[in-house]
Amino acid sequence: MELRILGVSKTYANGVQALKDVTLTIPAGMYGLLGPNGAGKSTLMRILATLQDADSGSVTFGEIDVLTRKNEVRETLGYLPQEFGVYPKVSAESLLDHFAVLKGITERRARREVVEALLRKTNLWDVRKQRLGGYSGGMRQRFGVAVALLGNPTLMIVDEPTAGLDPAERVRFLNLLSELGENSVVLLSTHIVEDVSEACTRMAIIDKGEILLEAEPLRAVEDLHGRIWRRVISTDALPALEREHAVISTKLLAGRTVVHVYGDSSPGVDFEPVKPDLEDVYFSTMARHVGSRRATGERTRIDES
Amino acid sequence: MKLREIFRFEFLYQVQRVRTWLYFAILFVVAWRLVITSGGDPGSGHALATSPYDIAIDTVICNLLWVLLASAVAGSAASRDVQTLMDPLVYTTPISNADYVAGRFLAAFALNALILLMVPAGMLLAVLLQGAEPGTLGPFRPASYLSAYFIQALPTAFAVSAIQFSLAALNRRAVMSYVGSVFLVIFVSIIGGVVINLLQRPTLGRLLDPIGYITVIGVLSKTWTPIEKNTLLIGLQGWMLANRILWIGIGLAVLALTHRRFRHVR
Repeated sequence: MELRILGVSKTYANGVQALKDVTLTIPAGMYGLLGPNGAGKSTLMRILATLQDADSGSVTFGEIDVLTRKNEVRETLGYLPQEFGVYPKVSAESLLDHFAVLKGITERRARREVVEALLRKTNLWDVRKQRLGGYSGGMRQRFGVAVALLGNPTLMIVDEPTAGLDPAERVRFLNLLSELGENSVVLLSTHIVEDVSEACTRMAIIDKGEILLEAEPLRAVEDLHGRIWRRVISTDALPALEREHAVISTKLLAGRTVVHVYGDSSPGVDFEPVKPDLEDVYFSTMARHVGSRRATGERTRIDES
Repeated sequence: MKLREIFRFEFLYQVQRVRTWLYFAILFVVAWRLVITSGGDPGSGHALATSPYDIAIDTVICNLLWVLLASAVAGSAASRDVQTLMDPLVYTTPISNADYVAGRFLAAFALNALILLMVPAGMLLAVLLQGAEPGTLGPFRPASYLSAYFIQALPTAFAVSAIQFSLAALNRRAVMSYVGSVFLVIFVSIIGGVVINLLQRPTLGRLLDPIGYITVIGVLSKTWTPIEKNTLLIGLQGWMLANRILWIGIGLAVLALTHRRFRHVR
């Protein structure tokens, strides 16, 4: 099973072009779609989840045309939206049971087993009789996870799933997805670099509706080796430094600013080389030093990623 | 199977709401009090409190009250997924549009049919308790109640529920079913009144009226003799049957349109 996205574009009625000619091939396993808020991630996820139509392009999952044969996709789809609500005046158990029937698990005993297993997996078993209206944000998110996992989907689309989870819940959830990813295509969108570095074997970086980089996280980090330089400065020295060097990211550390700079060779004696991580890949890509659509001009560096 | 589950879940969800039981109670009490207080006019010798004509009038009044009171039943069945933001979860399950629309609508219609069953129930309670003035109750004729429920109330419930459901579903907002109900009552009574009184086309006017209140109250009260009011069943009048067939047809057409236009997208 493979999800193939070919030249998908989408422009909203208000003129915003959310997706520009997006092409991706997503094999079985965990695949991370990384990008800032407003990059077009959710639009792409909704198109893949059959909730929105693309203006052009094609999407196929195995033999199924995702854009036209929506109900066939839905037979095998798990979707966790970025934002969703639930009926407030019903218990988690009875609503999950309802969804199980809608997903085609019609045999009563099988359904009861599936519902119980998922409530236990998502740690909602003890609160299964409570009304969903009284659930916290994290509990509701876990309920969404349980709905998405119903029926062991072979295509799993999860949109910013870790945003509302606490650290323990987040690890638990990523483990659940990894388990599913052994046999299914799991596409996870996120703006959190750690989600991708911890869980995904392949990734793409998207910004302003365009795919900037498609890579394996470990390879991408390796490719950056020797090109990331670090310097600690006072915050007011930053503007001057930004004019002279290809600053990709800044971070505060004990009141001073840690600057990461991209460069094939050392930008100066004040800089020390650092071992790159996926965050450096992300910011180098966002600054257009790495990836398929690199910036042109004097700051352009040669690389072969 | 999925249709049955959608119906079951929707029906149970609404039947467990306090709001629903308020509708039951209000219609029951109103119907009961109408029989006791409006009990005919013995002086002029017509219209006993349980004459077919009076039962028909009380039913019309209660149906009118139901249209405005309980529009949320069909409205929330049609739009709760969108309004609670649960639509992305529901719309990505493999259910057909027909199962979805039919399951939700039939649940709302079934509930409305039960709510309207409170009207004959309330009237029968009044008869049983003999709470009305002695002498104002006529003989007990089951046909009056059956006609009032099956010919007057149920087709109205079907047509009006379909309109309320479709307005809420296609606009994705429950409040549209209420706006539509108010509009329906006002618009139809004005049009009906104009057609009957100004254009002198009573038959056409009777056809246009989905609830029957202009025709029953406005026309029959003037044209029927006391004996007719005490004995004739409204449901068996030819124009009434034509009206019912027309409005069931309108209800079906509106549902077909909703099935065509409703999309499981955001």
